[in-house]
Formats: sequence, C-alpha cells, structure tokens
Amino acid sequence: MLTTLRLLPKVSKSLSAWIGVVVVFTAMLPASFALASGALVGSIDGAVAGGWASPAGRRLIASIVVVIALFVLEQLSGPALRSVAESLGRRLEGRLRARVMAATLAPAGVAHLEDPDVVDGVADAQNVGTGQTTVKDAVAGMAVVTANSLAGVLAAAVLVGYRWWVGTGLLVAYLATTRARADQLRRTVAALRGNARRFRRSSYFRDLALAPGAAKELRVFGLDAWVGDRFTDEWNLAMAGFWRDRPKGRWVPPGSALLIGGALVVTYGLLGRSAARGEISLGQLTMFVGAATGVAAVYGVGMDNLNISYGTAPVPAVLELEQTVSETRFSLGGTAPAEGLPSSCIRFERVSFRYPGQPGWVFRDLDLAIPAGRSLAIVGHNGAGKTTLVKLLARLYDPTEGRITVDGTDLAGVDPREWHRRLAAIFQDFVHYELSAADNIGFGSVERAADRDALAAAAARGGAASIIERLPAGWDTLLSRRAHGGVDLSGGQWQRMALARALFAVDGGASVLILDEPTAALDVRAEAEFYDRFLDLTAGVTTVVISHRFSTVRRADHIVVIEDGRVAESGNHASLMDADGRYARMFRLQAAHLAGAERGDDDA
Amino acid sequence: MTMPRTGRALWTAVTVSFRADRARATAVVVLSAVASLAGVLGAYWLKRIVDAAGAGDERSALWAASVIGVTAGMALMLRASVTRMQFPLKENTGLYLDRRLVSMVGGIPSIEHHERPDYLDRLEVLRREMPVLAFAGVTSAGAVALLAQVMATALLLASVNPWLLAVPLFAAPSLWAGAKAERIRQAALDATAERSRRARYLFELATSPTAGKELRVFEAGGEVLDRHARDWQETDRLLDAAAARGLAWEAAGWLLFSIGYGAGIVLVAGQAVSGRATVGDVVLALALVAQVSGQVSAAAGSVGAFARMSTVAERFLWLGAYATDSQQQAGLIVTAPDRLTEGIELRGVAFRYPGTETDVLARFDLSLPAGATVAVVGDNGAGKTTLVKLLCKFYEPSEGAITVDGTDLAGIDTAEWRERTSAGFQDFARLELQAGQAIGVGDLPHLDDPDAVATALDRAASTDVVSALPDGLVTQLGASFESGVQLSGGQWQKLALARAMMRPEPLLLVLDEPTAAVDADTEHMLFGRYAAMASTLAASLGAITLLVSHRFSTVRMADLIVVVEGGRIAEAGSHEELMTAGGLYAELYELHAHGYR
Repeated sequence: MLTTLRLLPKVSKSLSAWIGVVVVFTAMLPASFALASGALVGSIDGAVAGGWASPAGRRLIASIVVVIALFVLEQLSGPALRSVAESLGRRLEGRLRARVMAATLAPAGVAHLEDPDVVDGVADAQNVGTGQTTVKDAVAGMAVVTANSLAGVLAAAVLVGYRWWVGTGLLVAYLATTRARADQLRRTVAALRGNARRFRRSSYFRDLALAPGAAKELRVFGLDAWVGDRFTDEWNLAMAGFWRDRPKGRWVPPGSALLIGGALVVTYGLLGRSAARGEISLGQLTMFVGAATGVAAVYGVGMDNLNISYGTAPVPAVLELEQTVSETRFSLGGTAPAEGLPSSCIRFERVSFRYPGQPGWVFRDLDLAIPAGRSLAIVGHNGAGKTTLVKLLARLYDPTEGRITVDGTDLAGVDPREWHRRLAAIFQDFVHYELSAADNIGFGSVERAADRDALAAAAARGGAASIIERLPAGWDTLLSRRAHGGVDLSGGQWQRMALARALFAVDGGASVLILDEPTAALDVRAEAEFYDRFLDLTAGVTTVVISHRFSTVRRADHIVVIEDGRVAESGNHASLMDADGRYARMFRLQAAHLAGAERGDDDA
Repeated sequence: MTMPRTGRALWTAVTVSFRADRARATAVVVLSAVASLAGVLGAYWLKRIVDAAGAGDERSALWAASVIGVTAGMALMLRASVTRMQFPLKENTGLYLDRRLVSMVGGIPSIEHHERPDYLDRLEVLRREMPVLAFAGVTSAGAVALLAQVMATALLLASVNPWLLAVPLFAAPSLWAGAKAERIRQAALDATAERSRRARYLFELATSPTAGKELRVFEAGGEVLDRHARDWQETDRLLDAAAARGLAWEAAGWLLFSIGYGAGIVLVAGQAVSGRATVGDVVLALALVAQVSGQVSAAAGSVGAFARMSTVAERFLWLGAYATDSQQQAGLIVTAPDRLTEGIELRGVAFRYPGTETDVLARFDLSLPAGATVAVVGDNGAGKTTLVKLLCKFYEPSEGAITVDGTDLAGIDTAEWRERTSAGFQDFARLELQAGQAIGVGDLPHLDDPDAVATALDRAASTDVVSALPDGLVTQLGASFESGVQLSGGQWQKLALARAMMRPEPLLLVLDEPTAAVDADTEHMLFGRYAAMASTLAASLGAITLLVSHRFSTVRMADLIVVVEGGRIAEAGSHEELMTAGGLYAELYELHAHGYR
C-alpha cells in the first residue's frame, strides 16, 4: 500500500494534492456535524421556553441551517473524493501497465520472455487494471479509508473534550481491532501471491476448453468431458494447497469484539450518567454521543479495505518484474555500430547453444558461413535447430559457447538494437497483428509507416496488394475478427502480409532478410509466384531461408543441410545433387512423385 | 439466438451462489442482514439514552448504553464471519461457473461459436466478466441487508412522526440521478471499449514471447508503447469527463434530497419546540435521516451491481440455451455404422457460414466411395476446409444432405460419428500436456496405453520426436509450465499427426494439410505408412481417407482427386484422368512440378 502511495505524486502532483485537500475537508465534516447537532439539541430547551423568535430559537434555526448544510456537503464530498481518486488511480494503472510493457521490451534479447519468474511476474502484473479489483479501486479505497480514519480521529478529539481518556480509550480499542484485522487481510492477500503459478494448470485446461485453438480436435476426439474433469481436478488440487496456506485465524477475535463492545458500554454509560446527573447538558450529550459513534469510522470494514489489499497486490510484482528483467543474465551487451554490416560474411564459429533452463544442446560446435548479399537456404529435419539458428543470427539470444562474427567483428560486441535495425524477418510463428492492414506492413519499419506509397510497393512485392484491394476499408481495415468492422484473413493471406512486412523493412534499410518457412501456408499458385520471384526479392540482400519446400530451397545461392546440430552438407543445388547425399535424397523424395511420370526426372 | 429476458437473468444471477454453495450463501445472507440492523438499533438506543438522561434516569441510561455495546460487539463478530465466508463462497461460485462454462462450451458439437464474430464477442466478454457473477452471493447478501435496514429505519421514522416516512420519497430523484450517472459512466465505458481492447491487446503484444521476436527485429516496441499510452490517455480523458458529468447529476439529486432532509429536521425540531416530541426524538431523527441517505447511496450502488450481474447472467443463459439447442438433433437419431459399404455422398450441398451472405460451397455433388483415399485440391479459400468441417459435423449443410451409406449424417448420433472419425488439422492444437497424453487423447480409452501411443507414433513417422525428449512419453510439453520442453513447429505437427493416428478403427480419417511444417523425410515416410494403414482399414472397414493438400506428390497417390474452385467441384477423377483432361488440376500440377525442375 505504501509502495502504491509513493507512486501517486509521480503520476500527477496536482491530482494528488487535490485528493489530499478533499480528504481533509471530508474528514472534518462528521465531527463538525456532531458539534452542530449538539448545538441544535442544546437550543431546544431555550426555544421551548422562548419560542422561535427568542435568542435560543434563532440559535436553533441557525444550527438547523448548519446541520443541513453539513449534510449536503457530506453527501457531495464522498462521491467527489471517490471520483477524483479513481481518476488518479486509472492514470496509475496506465502508468504501471506501461512500465510492465517497457520492462518486458527493454532487453534486446528474448530469453527473459520465457523465464518462469518473468512469466509469473507478467501474469501477476497483468491484473493491474484488468482484474476484478484494480489499482484504480485501491486508490479510491485509500482515499476513502484515509478520510474515514481521519474523521474517526477527529471525532475522538471531540470526545476528548468530555474526558481525555474516554476519547483516547475508544479510539485505541477500535485501532487495536483494526490492526488485527489488517494483519489478517494482509496475510490472506499475501497467500494469493504465486497463485498465478498455482492455478496455471487448471487455467490451462479451462482455456483449452473455451478458446478456439483446440476446438476442432476437442470435438473430433470427444475430449470435452475429459478436459472438464482435468480442470476440476487441477483446480481442486491447487485450491487445496491454497486453502492450506491461507491464514487460519479469525477475522475478529472474540477478544476484540469484547474490547470494542466494552469500550462502547463504558463511553455511552458514562455520558448517559453524566447527563442524567446534569454534569453535561443534553446538547453536549448529543454532541459527545455523535462523536463517539463517529470514532467507529477508523474501523475499516467495507469493500474499500478489501479493494486496497487486493488492488495494490500486483504493484510490488511490477516493481519486482523491472528488477528481474534488468538482471545481467538477460542483457545482451555490445556497443559497436552496425552501420553497413554485413558487407562480406556472417560466420558461426564453433557455436554451441542450449536454451536457458533446458537440458539438451541444440547445437554443438556449429560452423557456418553466410555470405553477404547472397541467399542461403537451410534444410534439415524437424527439431534440427533451424529456427534456433535464426534466433541466434537475429541476436535474440547469444551463443552459449563459441561466437558469431559479422565481417570479422564479434556480434556480441555490436549494439544489439543497431543490429536489429539491419534485419528483416518472417518467423515461423509470425504475428497476426490485430491492427490495421497498414500497421501490419508498416510495423516492418515504423518510421516510414505513414508513407502509403511505400507500403503499397512492399505489399505488391509481397503479393499482398490484392488482399488490401479487397478489404472493406482498404488500408485502414482492422485485421481482427474481434474488432468492430474488422476482418480476419486466411493463413495464406496472413503469410503474404508478413512477407510484405519483411520486405518493407528491407526497403527501410534492413540488409539481412530472414525467411523461416515463408510459404508454409501458401497455396500452389502463391507458392509458385513466390519462388519464381525469389531471386528478384532477395537480390543484393543477405537472405537466410528455412524451408521444407525444395522448390524454394533450390533457388538459393547456397544451401546447407543441418543434422545433429552440425552442417552435414553444403553447396548449391547443382553441386549437392551431384554429390548425391542427404540433400539429393530429400529433394528426390519430394520431386520424384511429381516430375517423374510426365516429363522424366530432370533434377540431376 | 436472442438474449434471454432480464428477469430470468436476474434470477439466475441471484441464485447462482446458492446453487454453488448453499450453506455458505445462506449463512452470508442471513448474517449480513442481522448485522446490518445494528446501526439502526444503535440510533434507537441512543435516543433512549438521551431521553433517560433528560429524565435523570441513570439506570435506564446505563442499560441502553450496555445494549449498544453488546449489539455493536455482536455485529462486529457477525460481519467478520461474513467476510471470512465470502472468500470460499466466491471461490466455490467461481468454480461452479467455470465448470458450467467449460461443459457448456465443450458440449457444443459445432464450432460456430468460435468462428462467428458476434458469438466470439459474447463469449469473450462472458469469460472476462465472469467474476462479477462469482460475487453474486455477496452482492445479493448486501441487497437483503439493505432491505432489512430500510424497513427497520422506516418503522422507527414512523414511530417519531409518520410524516417522516415522506423523507425517503425525496430520495427518488437522487436514485434516478444515480442511475443516470451510472448510465453516463457505462456509455463512456462502451465508447472506450474498442480503445481499451486495443490497449489490452498492445499489452499482450509487448509481453508475449512470440511477438517479442518480431518487435525486436523490427524495432517496433517503442511504437507499441506509444500507442498504448495514447489509447490509455484518451480513454482516461473520456472517462474523466463522464465521471464529472455523472457527479453533477448526483449532486443535483442530493440537493433535492437535502430539501426532504431539512424538512424532516425542521418538522421534528418544531415538534420538540412545541413539546410534542422529546429531545431524544430529535436525536433519533437526526441519526435516522442521515442513515436514509446512506441507504440511498447503497441502493443506487446495488442497482448498478445487479444490472451488471444480470448482463453477465444474460450472456451466460444465452450460452446455455445455445449449447442445449445445438445439442438437439432433429428427427430420428441412428447409430453410426460399424463399417462402410457404399461410402459418403454429398448431394446438392450448399453451405454458408451462419450470419454471412455468401455461399462457401454451392451445388456440391460428390461421392466418396467406401475404402477410397480422396484428395481435395484447390486454391486458398476454395472451400476445402469447409468441406472438412461439414464431414466432421462441425456444421450442418445449409442445403442438400450428406449421407453415410444412405443414412443422413445429420441423423447419426454426433458423438458416435466422432468416435469413428479421426483428424489432423493444419491449425493443429499444441497440447501442453505430457507427451504421451498429448498423443493419447486421440483415443481416450487408450490415453495412458504406451503401446497404443507407440503404434500411433510409428504410423505418423513421428517416433523421433518423442525419443528426443528427456523423459520420453512423460515429458511435460510447452512453455506454460515449469520444466516444460519446447518443441519446434514441425515437431508439434508431428505429435498432432500421431494423435490423429490413435483411433484403431476410424471410418473417416481427415488430414487437412497434415504436413505443412513437416520435413521431407517424415512426409515421405508418412505417406508410405498411412497408405498402408489406409488400405488395411479400407479392406476391413471400408474406411475413407480424405486428404487436403497443396503437395501434389501426395495428392497424386489418391484414388480420387477432387478439384475445388470457388466453392464448386471443378473436376474430379484419378491423377491420370485429370492430367489427360488438361484442366485446372493439370495446370496446378504443372505449376507445382515446375518448381522441382
């Protein structure tokens, strides 16, 4: 809660100051009301004797007016306070979410995005502003609870005017109980932390049943009941653990109830007796009784206290996330400029790699040369590490051992962000941006994204021009089924958009083009179009293409076969066919069925 | 499907906690109501203290003070136990709702709800807003408590002066203003919904590992951050403006109420001055009338909460009705055949996706003979996948009929038909389970049967994927879990293929682009093996294999090749026949083969 409080002035000084003023103002009202109603009741006897026109009667009228005015102010200040505080809270939410995004985007590599601590941190932080209880609610709660507590203390101060120890005693009784309860609440909320991890398995099965991704297979294989049962089992398992760890104590121990009940009996009892004996007037009695009732405001009971605890819970997660992500294990070093790279060659020199936290090596001692300005195709079995190779080349990871050099310079010494500027890529799991069609291509080079002509040129080269033409709102069409007026594309269409995006990046100055399975979703016609223009598209650009389709692979200047984490063969299509090794065998597997029957096998 | 009535939705919302956890829900409602009376009773006993003091009656004053203390202490305990029970009540209600949701969605035989934008939207909102319903028990308890308070307050007001009962009437404009303010805020939320959704999406984009790669390579992270900030600020601005307007309405409402309040105070004070009321009555009136204002705020809040609850409940009921509806099979239900003798016939089949205007398939006549391997080729968007969806019974044809050995597929028990169908899809699921289970779910009875799984892996030429895993079949897959092993796209597809090979006796095996991400060796082995399997199954069961592919090396081996163009069958026949015909097939084939020359 303190962490959150400290963040508020940074979000908006003026709003925070406003809230402070309204809190104090609001807090003063109940005590003032007690004083005014004391005055009102105190004037009644005099008014009974002298009528409305007497001084006592006029005092009565005046105090009635004051009571009504205070009532109105009380009604207005509560909602106003909440409203201003919510506004500030919402801003804080935005700020925190931006910080999570900035933190996850900060490292030049991607290793942190798969680190369990970071994944958990993001899951926790994601609740900022999206959960049922948000930071906004917490900030509003803090304002209201602060105002209430202060009001309670002021009421106690009025009661001190009766007997100092009655006011103090009642206040202490309430505060003691509040403290016990706050402890309990804190422990309950603390038990919630780590729940993202605990419930991950049950959430997985829930989402499996509800999300479209597995819908077809769940139905064909009749898995609905099985998934439902797994969800329940995993939920019960997680919940059993949660219930075990949840603090057991009572929210209000009987001792506390006795304490407060006793304090109230003493307070009201003393007041009643003093008034009955004439030691204090009925007006004073009303005032003190009103004040005594008002002290209860320090005792937080409502939703606001829950909101504070739940709503502020993700805030430390955000700050921790920033810490975790900035750890050195996630940072990629290097300061050398990348301008003009590569001009001669990119080399993998005895590169070994394994993913952080994974046991097996993907490569051992891989040597590979990628000549600048030419195209290189990489083929190999599923799981041979082709995609990993591309991630190393893109410097999303650094090699575990060995090094990658560009024009002789160790890539580890090059500024990773600058290196990224040299790259354009279609990854196998390229992104379907649920943004406009223009954004989907423009994201390849955001500085030039406003230039529609440039976008159109890239779209044309990527085979996406016809897609854009047919969109209902052209470039501005949102490519998302979820968006209003949005349109979803087919797999092949998305792939052409991704290609256009990568080509747009090339137009923007990227000189290394990475194509990981660029035709997997294309139909025969589009694929043929792609490989027919392959040379044109990649002319002068250092291109690395990964594909299982040999119709594309064969067009590369240079081809390597990766097997068991090493380069098993390398050459161009003709030389590899002549060598009659693995490449030739794989090529024939695909080609034999095709070309043989009608035209004779001319692949040699 | 239209949305159900609000009344029913409200009832569902109110009762859902009772259905999930009757004992706790009842206890929470009863205890909240009892505890809520403490405040009203306190006001009454304060009056008694004042009156006793006025009369110089020390004993009565002390007695009244004791009652207040005891009541307050008890209320404290009660509220605390309510708070304590709220947590498990909310959790159990949440589980109940999630279970219902999972079983409702899972029980829908069609996949329409995953493909129709408006349904998709409702489902997503439902998923997100479900916690509102989980709170239903607590919200209802609050409303019952409020009702108890209002009645007790009214009784006491009437005891001072029946005219005071008119004070709550002045609350009407205030309630109305509250509702108006809520509407203004809700309208602002609706107006910013698109923006908020985009902001949420941008957040996901920035934090997801998949997009992480591209955002770095394209250096687009900063752009994502900027847009998020812009969207958030604009949303803030609109919501702040709405809040201010709402506040103005509320203030106006309270000003009107304060007239009633003032009148009440003046009335009682006047009574006291003329000796018709005690000083205690004035104290009571001051306290009670203030309580009325609290109750009015609570009522306004409660109305808002119930409105939100019933909106969510409406969607929940809609989904339930939709699920039940979609499970109803019209007419006579027959069992799936044991084996195929004739085959599957499509007669005059047309199909358009619900809620759309264009036919994806039109005048589709096709017979898939028993025991045949049928390949379907055509450009993207020609209707191939739709055909697959119809055969898997994800949708019913809009016109015409599909018959299985002469029996209408629509009349065949869906679950039974599915038991005799197996499939591998282009957009296969990456099931992050243990490797053995990710395959075994293809045939639930043999889920944990290592032999059956090994056979399926062998048929799918995918044994190498599992043997490369550190713990073999018991290796946890996927990045979502600690120590989960990550697979490449091709490896995932191989597992999906193995899953499709689990069923021992399928009548229909559908392979929709099964090898898009698979290497050449696997592809080749796969064809050999499933050709062998297909012919065994064809001989014993008359099973049909339907293959959708862009790879003509596979396609040409089929007994029958169907070329689809623009939702119609352009041509059909064997490879040789179609090549001779020199139509679309020959053109596409040449195009494809050209790449290998």
